[in-house]
Amino acid sequence: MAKQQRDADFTEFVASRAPWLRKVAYLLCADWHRADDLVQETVTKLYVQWPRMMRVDNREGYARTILVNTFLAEQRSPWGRWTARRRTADLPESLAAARDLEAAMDLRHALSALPPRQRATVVLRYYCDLTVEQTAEAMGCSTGNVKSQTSRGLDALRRLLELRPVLAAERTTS
Amino acid sequence: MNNDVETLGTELGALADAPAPAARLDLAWTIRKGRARLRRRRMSVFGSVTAVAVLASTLALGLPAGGQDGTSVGPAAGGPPPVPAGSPALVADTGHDPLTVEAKFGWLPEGFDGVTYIMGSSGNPTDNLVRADRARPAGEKGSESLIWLKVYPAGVLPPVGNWPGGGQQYQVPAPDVHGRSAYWLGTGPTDSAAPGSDRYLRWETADGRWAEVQWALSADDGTPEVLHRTAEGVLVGHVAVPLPFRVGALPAGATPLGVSYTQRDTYTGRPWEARISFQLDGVALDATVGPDLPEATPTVELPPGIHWIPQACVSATGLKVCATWLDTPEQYAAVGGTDGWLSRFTLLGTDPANWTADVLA
Repeated sequence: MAKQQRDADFTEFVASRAPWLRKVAYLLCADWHRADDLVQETVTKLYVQWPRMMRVDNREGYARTILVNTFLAEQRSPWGRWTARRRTADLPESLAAARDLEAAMDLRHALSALPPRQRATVVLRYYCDLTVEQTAEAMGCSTGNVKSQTSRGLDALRRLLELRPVLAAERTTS
Repeated sequence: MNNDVETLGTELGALADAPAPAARLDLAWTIRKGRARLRRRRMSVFGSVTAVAVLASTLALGLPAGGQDGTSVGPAAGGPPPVPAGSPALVADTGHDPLTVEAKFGWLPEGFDGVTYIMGSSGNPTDNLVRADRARPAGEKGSESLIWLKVYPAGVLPPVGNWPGGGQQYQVPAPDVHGRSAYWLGTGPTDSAAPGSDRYLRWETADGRWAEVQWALSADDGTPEVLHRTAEGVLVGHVAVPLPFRVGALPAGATPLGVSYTQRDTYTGRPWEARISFQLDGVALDATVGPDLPEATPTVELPPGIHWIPQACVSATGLKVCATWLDTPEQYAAVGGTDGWLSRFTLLGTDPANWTADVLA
C-alpha cells in the first residue's frame, strides 16, 4: 500500500513537471534526444530519493538541482565528455552556417560551446530566474563561483553570438 | 551590455519553447528501474549484490539473455557484414521518406547490435546522425560504447581547430580508406587519439565528400585498427530508412520536425521504436510506432488518470502507434484529436521487409 502511494505521489509530481524539466535539460545539453535521457535519469533518482523529497518544501527546486547535478556529473563521465566534444567539434562549421539560421538556433550553438558549469549557470540564472544564492545552492558551489561562472559565460556568449545581426545591432545601441 | 542580458532570458525561453521532437520518457520504466535500485541498495547491505543485479537487469529490461530478441551478433571476421537483428535494409530515397541518411554502417565490431538513425534531434530538422551502440552489461542504463557516423556536405572540409577543453587538433596521417586519403583527428602531430581516448577517423569518399567515424566512451577495444575497419565497411550514399508505417492526409503546412528509428533502446530495453514529429502552426504532432508487446513485468500501477507519457494508442498488424503529449492533448485539435491523428497512420507489420520508404503517402 505504501509503495502504491509512493508511486502515486511520485507520478503526479513528475507528470506535472516533466515538460519543464525537459526544457531545462534541452538548454543544458542542446539535444532533445539527450535531454530525454537526462530527464529519465533525473526522475529515476527522484524516485529513489522520494522519501527525502517528500520532506522538502521546494520540490521543484529539488528536482532541478538533481537535474543540474546529473548533467554536470555526466560531463565528467566519458559520455558527457563525448557529448561536449562532439557538439563543439562541430561548432566552427555550424557557426559559419548559422548566419542564415534563426536566432534560437544560433543561441543553441553558442550555449553548447560553453563549458558545462558556465552553461548551467547561465540557464539557471536567466532561464530558471534563480538568484545567485539559489544558483549556488543548486550547483553546490559558492556565490562567488556563480558570479564568476556567470560573467565568463555571458562574455563567451557575446563573443560567440557576434555574427548574429540582431544582437550586434542591440549592442551598438546599448 | 544590459540589453542583451535582459533579452537572454526571453531568448532562452523561446529556444526551450520551440516545437520539439516527441519525448522519449517512460515513467513506468523509471519506476521499475527505481525499484530495482532500491532493492539493490537494500540487498547490498546483506551482501547479495550479484543476485539482485541479475534480477534488476531482468526486471528493468524484460529481456532474455543474449540480446533483445535472443539473437547475438558475432565477430565479423571476413564474410558478409553482420546486420543487426530487426534492422531494416536501407533503400533508395523515394522523396517520400522523412528519414534519410548519407551513409550506413557495414562491418561493426562485436556487440554493436543497436543502430539508430536520427533526424532533427538538435532542433534543426535536417540534421541527421547514424549511431551504432553496444549496451552496457547487466541492464545498466545507457551505452557502453558508441560509434558515430557522419558525412560532411559536398565542398565542406571537416574543421580542424581546437579541442573544446583546450589544445590544438592535429591531422595525423592514417592508412588510406579504399585508396583515398584519411587522417586521425589527434591531440599531437603523431598522437592519433582524441582527448579521453576517443578516436576520430576522417576520410575522403569516392564522391568527394568527407566522412567521419568517431569511437566514443569505452576505449578498451576502440583501437585504430577496429575504427579503420569500421570505416572501410561504411557505405556512403543518400539512402532512406524504411519505416513501419505510412502517414497520409497531412494538413497543409505540416512539416517534419524530427524522425528517428532506434534499434534496441538502451534505456527502455524496447527492441525497436520509430518516432515521428510534425510541426503544425507552432505545435507538435507526435507518433511513436513499435511492436505491440505486453508491458515488461512487474506491472507498475499508476494512479487513475495518470499515464506516462499520456498517450492514445491504436494497435494493428502486431504494431502499436501512439500519440503522445507532455502538456495537453489539445495540440491534436487541428487534426481531429488523437483519434483523427492516429487514423492517418497505416501500420505495416513487424517484418522489416514489408516496411516502406514511401512514408508520406
